[in-house]
Amino acid sequence: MRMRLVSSCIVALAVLLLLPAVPSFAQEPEEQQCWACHRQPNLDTVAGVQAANALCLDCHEDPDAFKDLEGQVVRLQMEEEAYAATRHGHVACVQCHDTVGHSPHEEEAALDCEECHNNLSQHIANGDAHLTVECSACHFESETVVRDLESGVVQMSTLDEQGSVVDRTSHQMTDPVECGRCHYEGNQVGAADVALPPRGLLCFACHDASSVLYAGHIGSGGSGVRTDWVSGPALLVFCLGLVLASSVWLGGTLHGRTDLSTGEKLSYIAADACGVIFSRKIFTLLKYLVLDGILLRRTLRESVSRWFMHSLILWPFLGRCFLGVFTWCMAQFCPTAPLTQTLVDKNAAPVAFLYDFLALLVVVGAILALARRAFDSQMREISTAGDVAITALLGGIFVFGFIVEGARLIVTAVPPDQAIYSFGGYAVSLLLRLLPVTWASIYAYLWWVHAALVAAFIAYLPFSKFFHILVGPMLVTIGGLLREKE
Amino acid sequence: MGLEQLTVRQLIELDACTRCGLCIEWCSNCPEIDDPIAWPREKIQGLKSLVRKQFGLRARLRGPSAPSEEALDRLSRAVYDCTLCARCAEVCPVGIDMRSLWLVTREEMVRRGYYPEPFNNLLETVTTKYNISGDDPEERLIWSENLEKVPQGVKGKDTAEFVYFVGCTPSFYPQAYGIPQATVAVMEKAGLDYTVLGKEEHCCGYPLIIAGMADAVKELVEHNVEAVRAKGARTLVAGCPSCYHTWLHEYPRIIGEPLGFEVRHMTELLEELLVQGRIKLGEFPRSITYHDPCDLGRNSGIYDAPRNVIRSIPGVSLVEMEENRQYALCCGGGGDVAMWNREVVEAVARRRLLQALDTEAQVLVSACQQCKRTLMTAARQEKVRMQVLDIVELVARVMEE
Repeated sequence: MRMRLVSSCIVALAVLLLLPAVPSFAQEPEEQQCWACHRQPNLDTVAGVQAANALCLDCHEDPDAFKDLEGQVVRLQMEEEAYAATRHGHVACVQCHDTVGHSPHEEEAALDCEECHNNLSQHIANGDAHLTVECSACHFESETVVRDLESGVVQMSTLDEQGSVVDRTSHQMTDPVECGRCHYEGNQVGAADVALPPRGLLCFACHDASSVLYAGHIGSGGSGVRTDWVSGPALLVFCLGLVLASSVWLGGTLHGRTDLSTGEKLSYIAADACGVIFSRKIFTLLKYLVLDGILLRRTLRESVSRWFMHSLILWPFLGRCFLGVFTWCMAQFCPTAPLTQTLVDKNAAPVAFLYDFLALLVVVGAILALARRAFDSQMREISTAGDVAITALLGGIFVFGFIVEGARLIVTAVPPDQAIYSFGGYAVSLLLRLLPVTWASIYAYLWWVHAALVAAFIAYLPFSKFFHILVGPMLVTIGGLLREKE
Repeated sequence: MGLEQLTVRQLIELDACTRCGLCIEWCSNCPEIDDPIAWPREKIQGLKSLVRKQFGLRARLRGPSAPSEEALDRLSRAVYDCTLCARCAEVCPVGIDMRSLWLVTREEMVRRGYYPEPFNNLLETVTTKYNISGDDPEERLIWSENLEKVPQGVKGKDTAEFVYFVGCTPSFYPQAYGIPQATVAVMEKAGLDYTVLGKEEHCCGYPLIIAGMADAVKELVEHNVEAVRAKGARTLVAGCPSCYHTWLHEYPRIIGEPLGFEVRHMTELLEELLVQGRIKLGEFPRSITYHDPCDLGRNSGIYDAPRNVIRSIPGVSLVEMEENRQYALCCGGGGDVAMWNREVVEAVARRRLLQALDTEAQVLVSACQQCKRTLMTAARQEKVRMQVLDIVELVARVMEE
């Protein structure tokens, strides 16, 4: 009886143990990973990587390692020391070529760079012009880069200029990146003849200038493209202007006292400012800044037409600035979010439309302002040479802005159904096409003129009537705070 | 000019001017002057140019330069033609306090010797006779001589709760005698413990301050403050908006300490007396329009008190002029302009009178002896049937026995 019980238990246990195994007998044999037979090394260790690579090199060190690709011989020989000296020398072959480590021994596709390099923000930051450029096009040693006509993606070509398959076994990367690989006269990838620097700090005023913090990322060392040539000198002169203006302001009396030194006045101002910022008065400050400084309440109260004209200029301008800064924040903190991908792509329909629409509003407002200046005798009489100069600068910025956009749409061959959303630039591009000009050749010059005009505008701002852009909101806010105090 | 003559805020204001020209549209006297330099915007540029010639970029690189005599002369004329009504400041989109800039400009013009000749007489008269008319200071109470009975408050008390600061114009100009007479009638009726300063009342200093000669008023100010303090008064009541403004805003700054007593305008006191029921008003079936004095309205923010007083008179209908409250057109009588350019004063006054006539009101009421004199003169010159009264005269007239 006891024996029967024991044997029943053994049988039951055997059945329980065997049951899970039953389906496996019914399955097709799985693809066998190399590691099914070979001991799987720990790829997190140097020794593991070396062990894994040693397995690959068993065959791939052989000079006769090659494969036949549509009649062409593709060399597959790797040299251990040469590979170890590359930038990815510490990475196991199978970490990138993750589909080859099994039987059948064929590669479907290597891993995307982004799988490891989670620094997409940098690549976004390199400018939206490179959104459709694959990493390999710039970073791999092969110099043959092509543009896929269908997708518009710029990538490393598998064939060289002679039509032979490119040998990629060296695994060498270009450092620093050579912009001239695409940016040369007569290139076929839709690049301007000359590489441009990333956008600068000032570009934030109207554009997404995500690249501003990565100005040093691209370009050959010492080529000059690393320097923010647009913003640096302009901001320097701008700051000198501010210092000059402030030095005059600080010459005045403060709190009814004539005996204060500049330093004492500065400390009083700082103390007053802190007293406002770090107290409930901050809400009063914000109220006047927003209502009077931005929404122009005082102007609205006195003249709807003036308010309308000013609003058309100020708000879209602020809107573009906000959009640019917001995009930069998104690129910094959520580089892979779909919204970021859309925001950084100036050809994306909503982005293209919004930027052009806001610019159009500014242009309409500026035309109204100029018309008033032309037809209003009071305004005509006070236009100084400086006023004409800064107004012309502002007009030039917009004119060249649209021309640069039009030229970009031509050079990068943005298809019309996409380009139409940049309606201002698209309209200009249609006109530009009528001119017998190679736009890829002069694109960079147009860009530099636009940038130089912006630089000149910013540098001249503190010395011109447009200084009121900064001082007006400041004064109206101070005035509001003082009224509340009374 | 030295930067220390302006405040930090004023120097910022010079840079904040957008030159939009909204101030020109609202300037009270610009339409009467045939030179764009009279436009507030141009005056700001004129003052800015004085600063820049000494402290601008070019001045720092190549040394300061002197403004041309012609420029100074034009700017001086412009700034002394201004009635200081401050309507420009009210409409300025960036809130530039232009009235104080005009005062700074006038001070600079005095320093450079570019100011109208009559202002020398004003300076001498005020600092030697302590009034603007040049009359004997002993005659300060001449307005009270034809009162039926001179109250004790006018004869003078050693101490009193209220000091009524009469002001130079009501004291010495017969057209305005009715104002202090009405004031004391109201105060008597309300049973207030008040007194006047008599010969101890000196000019408040306002005419000199706005002439750009503020340096000369310290003695006057200190004397007046001491005189009021000596009476142990709790409240100083001014019937003149300019005296009121000067007492309230300039005096504490000039003496460098709080006055120690309250400063009120007569309209505020009238409103309070009515609310408390200490005076009662009888029927007055008239249509009345109210002219806001610049120093009471825009410059001191008192708009409602006088209107409440007028509305509280049974039978009165108050009709507003097209431009009222902070947008009220100046009567033309401000800014000492009357001392040297009567044409501008009369032209502005005529425009204000026409606005009053447009309302079809029977009585034009103000709360300022200068407005009353100016508008009354305009009505006489235009030969229109428009009664012009000070608000306290109106109240005294309809006050029930």
